[in-house]
Amino acid sequence: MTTAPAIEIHALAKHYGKVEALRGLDLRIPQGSLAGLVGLNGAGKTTTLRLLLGLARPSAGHASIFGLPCHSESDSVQIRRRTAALPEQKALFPYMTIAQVLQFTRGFYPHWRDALAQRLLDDFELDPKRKPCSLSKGQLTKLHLVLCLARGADLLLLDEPTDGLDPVATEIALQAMVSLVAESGATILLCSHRLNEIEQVADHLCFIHKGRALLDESLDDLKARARRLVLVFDHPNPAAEAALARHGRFRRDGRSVSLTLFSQNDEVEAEARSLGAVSVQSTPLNLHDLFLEMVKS
Amino acid sequence: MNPLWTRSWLECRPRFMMSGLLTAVLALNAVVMMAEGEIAGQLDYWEAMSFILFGVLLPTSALLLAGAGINIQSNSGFTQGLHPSTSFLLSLPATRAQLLFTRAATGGILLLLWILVSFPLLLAIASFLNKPLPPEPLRLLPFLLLAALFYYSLWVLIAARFDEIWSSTIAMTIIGAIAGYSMAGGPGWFNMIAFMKGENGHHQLPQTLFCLAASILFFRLTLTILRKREF
Repeated sequence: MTTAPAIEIHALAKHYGKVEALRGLDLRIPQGSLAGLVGLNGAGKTTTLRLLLGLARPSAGHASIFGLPCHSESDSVQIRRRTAALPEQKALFPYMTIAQVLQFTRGFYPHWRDALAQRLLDDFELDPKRKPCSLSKGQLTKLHLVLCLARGADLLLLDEPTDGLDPVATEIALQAMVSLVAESGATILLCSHRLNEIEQVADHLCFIHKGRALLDESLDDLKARARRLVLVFDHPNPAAEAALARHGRFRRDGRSVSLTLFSQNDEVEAEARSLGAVSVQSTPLNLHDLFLEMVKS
Repeated sequence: MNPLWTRSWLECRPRFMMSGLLTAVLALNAVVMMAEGEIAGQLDYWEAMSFILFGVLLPTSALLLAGAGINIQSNSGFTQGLHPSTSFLLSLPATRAQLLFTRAATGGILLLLWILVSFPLLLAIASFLNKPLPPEPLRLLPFLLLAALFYYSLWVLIAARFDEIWSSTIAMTIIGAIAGYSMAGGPGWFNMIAFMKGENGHHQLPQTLFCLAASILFFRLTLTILRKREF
């Protein structure tokens, strides 16, 4: 029996006046995965999270979490009972102390994990007596992370969860996310511009560009097929270059040319050799390079 | 207890204290004025006190207690960056109707408490100073409560539609206009002070019904706005 996906988005569109934030987005995040959601500024990442949380209504299409439609208010409450969201803007109530915010949030979630909350407060060195309005940007992010991770939620929607964090706190946060997925089987959708962090923890990648999904697949599969071939020719060979350019993004640098491929490349390597390449070097792409290549192509 | 009640109380508490402070300052000011013999001779105590209490303090306290809610925390318009905690609040498993109800009810209860304390207090001060009062002043309480409901629901509606800078400006304009009209005019539809004093002639009964109907309509409109609004 197949498990329903944690998040399923089909042909989702969202217009703000004449601005098209999403233009037929399709995504499918499996349960128990730690998925990275990446894209340029204005690609539609935050809009996607807002639609999933029921903060905005779609112009067209459909989004569901655990099979429940996100646009229905009653279903949205059911969804939010099982979901923890870390918003892009990380302000909290200025009239509450950290202890009061924790107590307030705890009241909504029967599976609240006191021990984890206390451990994270200690790790992040947050004083429960302080008010959120007196915290720095990084400390606010830490507090939001405590509020999200301790809820015992089945799904976490995290928008820039390491924003403003120092390297130590970032490591603690990433470790906590991985542990949560491993121990409780929760699903995390991690929206961030810090590609090295996504590469470190994610097992699934969604790449949104101009309101559409360009990628939605396992990160391991993607990294297995996405490679850069560096080819060296004895002399300029325009015919070979033209033939190879149809396989992927092509760039000349003196006698060598590089070819970025997003599909199996054994045949391309063989073709390059047959076209006169004296050296063929295949290297895997890291997520940063992959991102840049996707955007450029 | 539902955590939304706790949040509403914590949000309303400083606003309630502000309304109390405002009342104390203006009441003290009135008492000092009355104590000055020469000024006292020129003023009708009941007219002056009812103007301050009914025309200024009650709508202003209602405004203080109706503010904030969901909208002040939004990141739209002129409040950008002020209290952008809406996303956090709305990501919790509560409907917008629940958010509105708990916040409006908490503010409403505190406004009721304010009326039940300040009105008898001012009557007691007047009695202590041997100032003339209307017969059976407590019979005005139902009109006072209805007018408070009218003002409060109107401010809740305005707060749901506009950010706090705009809603305060609009509300203070309305308070000034109604107070000015009430001071200058005789019995009439918008003479809220005369209505609260039970002196609005044949308009008293229809205005009672109007305040009730308008309050229900305002709360209904507020809920519709909050349900439709995207944050």
